[in-house]
Amino acid sequence: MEHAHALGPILTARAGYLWLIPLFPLVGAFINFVFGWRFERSGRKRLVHVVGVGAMALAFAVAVCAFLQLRALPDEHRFLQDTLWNMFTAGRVTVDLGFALDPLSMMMVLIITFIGMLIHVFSIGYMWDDEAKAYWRFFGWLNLFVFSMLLLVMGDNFVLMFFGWEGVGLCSYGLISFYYTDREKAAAGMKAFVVNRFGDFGFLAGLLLLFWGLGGAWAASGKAHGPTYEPEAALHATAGASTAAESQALAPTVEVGEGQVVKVGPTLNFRELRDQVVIEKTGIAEHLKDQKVWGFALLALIGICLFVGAMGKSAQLPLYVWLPDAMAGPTPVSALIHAATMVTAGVYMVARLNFIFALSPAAMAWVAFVGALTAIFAASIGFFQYDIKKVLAYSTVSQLGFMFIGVGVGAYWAGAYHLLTHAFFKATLFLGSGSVILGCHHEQDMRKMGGLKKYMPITRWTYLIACWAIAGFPWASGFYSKDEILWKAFTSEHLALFGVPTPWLGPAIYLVGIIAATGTSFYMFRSYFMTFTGEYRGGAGHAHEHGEDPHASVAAAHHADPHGHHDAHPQPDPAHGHVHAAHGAFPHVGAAAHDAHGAHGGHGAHGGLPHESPWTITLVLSVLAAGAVLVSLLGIPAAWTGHEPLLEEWLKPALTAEVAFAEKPHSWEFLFQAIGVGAGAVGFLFAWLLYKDGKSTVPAALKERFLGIWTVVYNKYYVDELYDLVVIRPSLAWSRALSWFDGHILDWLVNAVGAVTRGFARIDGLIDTYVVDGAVNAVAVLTAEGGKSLRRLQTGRVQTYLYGALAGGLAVILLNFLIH
Amino acid sequence: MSRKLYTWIALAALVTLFVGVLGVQVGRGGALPADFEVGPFTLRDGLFYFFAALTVVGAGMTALSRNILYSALGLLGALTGAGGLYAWLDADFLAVTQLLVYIGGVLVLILFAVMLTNRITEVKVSNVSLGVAGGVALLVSTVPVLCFVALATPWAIREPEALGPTTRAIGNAFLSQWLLPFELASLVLLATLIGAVVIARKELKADEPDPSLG
Amino acid sequence: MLHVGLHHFLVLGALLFSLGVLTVATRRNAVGVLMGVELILNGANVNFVAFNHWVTGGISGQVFALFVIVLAAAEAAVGLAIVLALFQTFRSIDVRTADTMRE
Repeated sequence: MEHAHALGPILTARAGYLWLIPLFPLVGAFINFVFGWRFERSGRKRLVHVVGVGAMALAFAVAVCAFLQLRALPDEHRFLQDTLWNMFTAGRVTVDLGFALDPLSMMMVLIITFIGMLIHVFSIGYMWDDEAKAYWRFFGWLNLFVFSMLLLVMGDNFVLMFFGWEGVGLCSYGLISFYYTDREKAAAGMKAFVVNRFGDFGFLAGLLLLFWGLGGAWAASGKAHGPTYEPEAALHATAGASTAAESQALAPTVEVGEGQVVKVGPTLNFRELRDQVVIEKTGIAEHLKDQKVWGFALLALIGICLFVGAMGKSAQLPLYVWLPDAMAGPTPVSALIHAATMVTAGVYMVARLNFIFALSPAAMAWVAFVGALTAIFAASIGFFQYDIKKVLAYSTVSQLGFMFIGVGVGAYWAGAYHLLTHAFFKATLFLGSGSVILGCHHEQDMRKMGGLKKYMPITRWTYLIACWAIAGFPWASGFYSKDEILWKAFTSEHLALFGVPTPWLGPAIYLVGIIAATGTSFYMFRSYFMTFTGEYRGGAGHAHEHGEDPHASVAAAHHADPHGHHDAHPQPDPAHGHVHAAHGAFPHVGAAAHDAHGAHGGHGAHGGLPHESPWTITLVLSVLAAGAVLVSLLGIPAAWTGHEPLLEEWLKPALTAEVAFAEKPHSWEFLFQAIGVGAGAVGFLFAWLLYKDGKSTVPAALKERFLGIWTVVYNKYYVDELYDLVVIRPSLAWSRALSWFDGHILDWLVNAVGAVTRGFARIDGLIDTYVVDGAVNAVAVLTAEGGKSLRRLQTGRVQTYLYGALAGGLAVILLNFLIH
Repeated sequence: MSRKLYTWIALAALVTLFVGVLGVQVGRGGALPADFEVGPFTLRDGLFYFFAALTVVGAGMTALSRNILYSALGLLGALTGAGGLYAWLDADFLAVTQLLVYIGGVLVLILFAVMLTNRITEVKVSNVSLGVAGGVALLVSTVPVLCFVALATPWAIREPEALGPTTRAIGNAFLSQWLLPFELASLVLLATLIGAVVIARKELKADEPDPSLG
Repeated sequence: MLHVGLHHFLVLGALLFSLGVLTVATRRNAVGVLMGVELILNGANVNFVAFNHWVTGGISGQVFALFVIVLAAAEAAVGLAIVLALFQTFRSIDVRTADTMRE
């Protein structure tokens, strides 16, 4: 693959209709939130899903139009821009409400709208008879979520992306806590939101560092690579610009050839950022590489901080803890959010900012390292889980780890490709598990399933195809994406830890990845065998959705269940009635009619056999499974066909970072592919041996033997407990301390001020009474006394008056003489 | 401290002030005229002193006597002395008029009043309302001032005219230069007559018979 | 200094005047007060005549003194009428009883 060294600025084509894509889901959400309850209550429940699915379909249609338009453009111009208006301007930085589609975001939009639409259809069947009677609320949240996700991927600047970032966090909260009357489910939603917040903090820190770095201390470093700028005063000036045009005029620019001008300096717009950094003539990339913050390279810090955001959103170590708990939400939610879209936002962000990451080998190494660690860690937890959704959750975390390995080592398109394939097969798996859960009357524990291939054939085949894909066998897409990632990991030359290049890191990551792949295959097929093969172990149809706490789950073990630890709970069927009440769990829906779509059979009572799901569900499963296979066509490696895989070619304009990989001959590549397949096969073999038909006693024996290790892994390595101890409790203690402070000290201060004021008031009162009134009274008294004294002059006797007059007269005469 | 004491203190202070200031002025030597009456002491001068003494003693008796009758007698002496002094000053007509009108008319009137009112009031008609000290203070403050003024002013003294009868001249003056005051004086006397009658008359009440009528 | 000149008469006049004022100011008997007034007027007359003799010449001073005598007479008459009225009102000729205008 050659990268033209003379990369020019992206040329954009205007597409005035892009705003319609997020608009339809937004309008759908609005209608459902505001009027949905009325529809449901007045018997027009269909309208809710018509609005929801309709909005998605329309959005998908517009997305396809955009895709066709984008395809028609030549490579270097593949960029659609639709700027609605200028949101705000600050100095030279403008933030517009603008949507942009380049190949990467186009891929994401298609995934979101297509798979989103399918999941909406699935939800019709799944949620129709839901006990919560909030069909409208579900669709409202789903549409709102899609809107936020579209905003995230289509926003042409960081602000919109962050808006969408937060929006998906909010909608994820709304959906996970959908059954909010259950405390634990509500808590799970809160956990997701709070853990995401931690990540968002890192994201913001990274963003601000980048912003600052671009403006940077040009003068202080003394070096200005490339053309000299009017000093950093120009970059730092905050002279007002009230319109976008003025703002543009203020910005320093660099001419990069043939009259093309690139704006430099702090910016929030992706295209401008990419142009500045990628085009060498601007000197920005060199400048960024030189800057250090407190001794650390700025770019490494930026990369790591941004990756912290991705860690939160995409559930990497150590911020993955919310994802398993998020299984408390209804299954379509898990499929949409935790398989295809929200969790991939982090990968999308890293891929979008590939040019920044590529400048810092340390950041890339960090990303890849954490991804690898997460992959194997999550895979190991998935070995022993019993709740089918939990298995899938940990699988998601593990696969996300793979994606981050991909973007971490520099194989951005591979990471994106794995994102695409994962969206398909994970959605299939989740929806399949949803179908299974529905069919088993809301049973989620795999130990109570088994032999479902007789009852739910379509579900079984789609699930199997998806397992084939995730395990990485050829002709299903997972093989291509995973192998590409691992191959690139092995051949990467660009990684460095703490500034020291580490060529051994790539192969080390490869090794970890292979082990994780083996594990993936193992636990996925374990879940398949436990669920679909053997005999049906489910008895009287329990309906509880709780299975995350293993010691609380009701284990009505029937058939050869060797896990005798759960005897603490009563076994026989009639007692299940109590147990439900004791757990306050979600009651069984079975009695209610599920037959709006008429494909349920024999459902009136407890203890019914599992059954296939309605056509809305099975159709979706089929489409997705087919997609999982067909998507492999996009990524057939160059070693096989001799030219670039279609997707890589498609994504090239967007993923321009040039990362060094060792050139190895194709034979090596075939070898590694074979090793990958082998790893998958090994996992399959173990699963087949241990879990096929549920007959083997080896798992039980192994468990007895290694009970300690089993317990630790089963309890997710006690990470949640650790967090509770280290983070939650200190926070609560701190908040209690602050509350005490507020109550005792601040309130005391306030009261003291009040008391002082009252004291002053009293003094004022006294002053008023004695001083002011005293003065007034004194004047009166003085006047009266003066009058009383002077009255005595009025004796009424003429002689006295005469005396006075005479004295006065004499005085005048005297004075007259004296003055002369 | 009583109010009387305060009053006395105030008066004493006032008096001291007056006297002091005057004394200072006199001490500065600008008070007395240089050519203060030079000439031998003649009989005429002695006569002056006699009449002056009569006048002053009479006035003194008027002022300071407890008995009103003695005061009236003193007044008589003072008026007589004044008449003599007019004569000394070659004012013959005036001297006679003084004797006739003042002593013969006014003094008689006053004596009548004194005699008549003697019976009404107690015999021991009182004297000083302010007390001796007040009177002395008054005197002591008034006299020096007036004397000072009299002596300090440079009067344009000239040789007195020759002795001659003044009656004719006065008569002529009344009817020429001083005609208007003369006529007005007549009017004043008329008014006085009427006024005195009016003032002294008792108020007649409607239901009371006039006591003078019966 | 003993030779009599204008100044002697002026001093005499001042004395008469002062004594007259003293009489007016200190007497309790209303008639006594009138006597004081006569003394004052006489003092003034003495001055007038003295000035006439030594300063102005002619008879202006004497004429004036005559007028004073006339008016003194008139005033004495009215004054005594007032004393009578006073007696009628207050039944006493002590001037201190006529103090209803006090305070």
